Amino acid sequence: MIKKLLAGSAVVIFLAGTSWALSATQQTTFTVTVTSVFELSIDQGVIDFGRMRPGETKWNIPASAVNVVAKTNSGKPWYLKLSNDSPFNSANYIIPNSNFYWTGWTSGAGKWYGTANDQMSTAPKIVYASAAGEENNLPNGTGNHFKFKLAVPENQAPGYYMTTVKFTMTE
Amino acid sequence: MIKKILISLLILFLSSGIGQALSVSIDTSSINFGTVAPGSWLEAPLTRDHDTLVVISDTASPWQVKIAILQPLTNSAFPSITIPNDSFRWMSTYAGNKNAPYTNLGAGLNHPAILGYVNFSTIDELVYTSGKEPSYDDNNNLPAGTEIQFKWGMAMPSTQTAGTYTTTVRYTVTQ
Repeated sequence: MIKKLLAGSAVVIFLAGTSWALSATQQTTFTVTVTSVFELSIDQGVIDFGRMRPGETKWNIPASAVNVVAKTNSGKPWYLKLSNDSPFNSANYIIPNSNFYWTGWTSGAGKWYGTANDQMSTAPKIVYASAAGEENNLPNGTGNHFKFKLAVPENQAPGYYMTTVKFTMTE
Repeated sequence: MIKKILISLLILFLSSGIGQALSVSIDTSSINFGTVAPGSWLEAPLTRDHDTLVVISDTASPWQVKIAILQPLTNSAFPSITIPNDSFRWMSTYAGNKNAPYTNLGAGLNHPAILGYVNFSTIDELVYTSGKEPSYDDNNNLPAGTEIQFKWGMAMPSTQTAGTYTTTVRYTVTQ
């Protein structure tokens, strides 16, 4: 009986000894906020059709196309829109938007809405819609490329005509 | 005779449990890196030199400190978007006795500061082992304990989605 008790006690003491490994823990919460990037850039701010005669049409201006790069890390779909503030004008004369066209192509994976000969409009029109995965296109962004066509009416008054084309990136 | 044996067993149990204590504390439970642009490098804490972990042991047995991240930093708006663990890093800059004469216990650091930052992992990484300094045995370090100082680094990926990310870091002391 005593032998049994001693053997049992040895086992119990051994188990008790191994179970006394101590452990303690603490925790820290870490937080970081990544800034939002939502940028649109163009590589050419001035486009000159040069001198044109009444009735003349010029295509594919500028030759190297305007590269419009959109960058975002918002995680949301985005769109690129195109418009001009007003038709070409010089003093009291205008060249109607029905004579001003845009065309181009995209380097992105999204949908390009151009039809190769689209009329300019003062109302913003969708040019490009981002593809899945382009909700965050850092660091290089998505490039869209534009060329323009202008047909000067045959009865157009002489003058120095200007217009401002606007690219708008929206979510 | 049997009574004597049982009494002696009871005494053995008590003597194996009484007096053993191991505690760990951190001087901040929440660390905010603030706002950062994609592609940036930043360090924390922002307003002081380091954060401090203190371990107190009353037992003359070696103990170890390990560190792990419970999950990658996770975007609060898009839980599927995370910051990779290899972008979030820790550095143990100093270890020392908090009792006089305040011995430097850098010998116990597994990754001393000279080795630079260590990437976080969800697997426990050894930070410190007690009793490594020949001139001072901190296995039992009463009353003030041993302190380990930390800095934190973040190499924000240049493609990181905007938003607020959080995670939890766990410190485990075993003896």
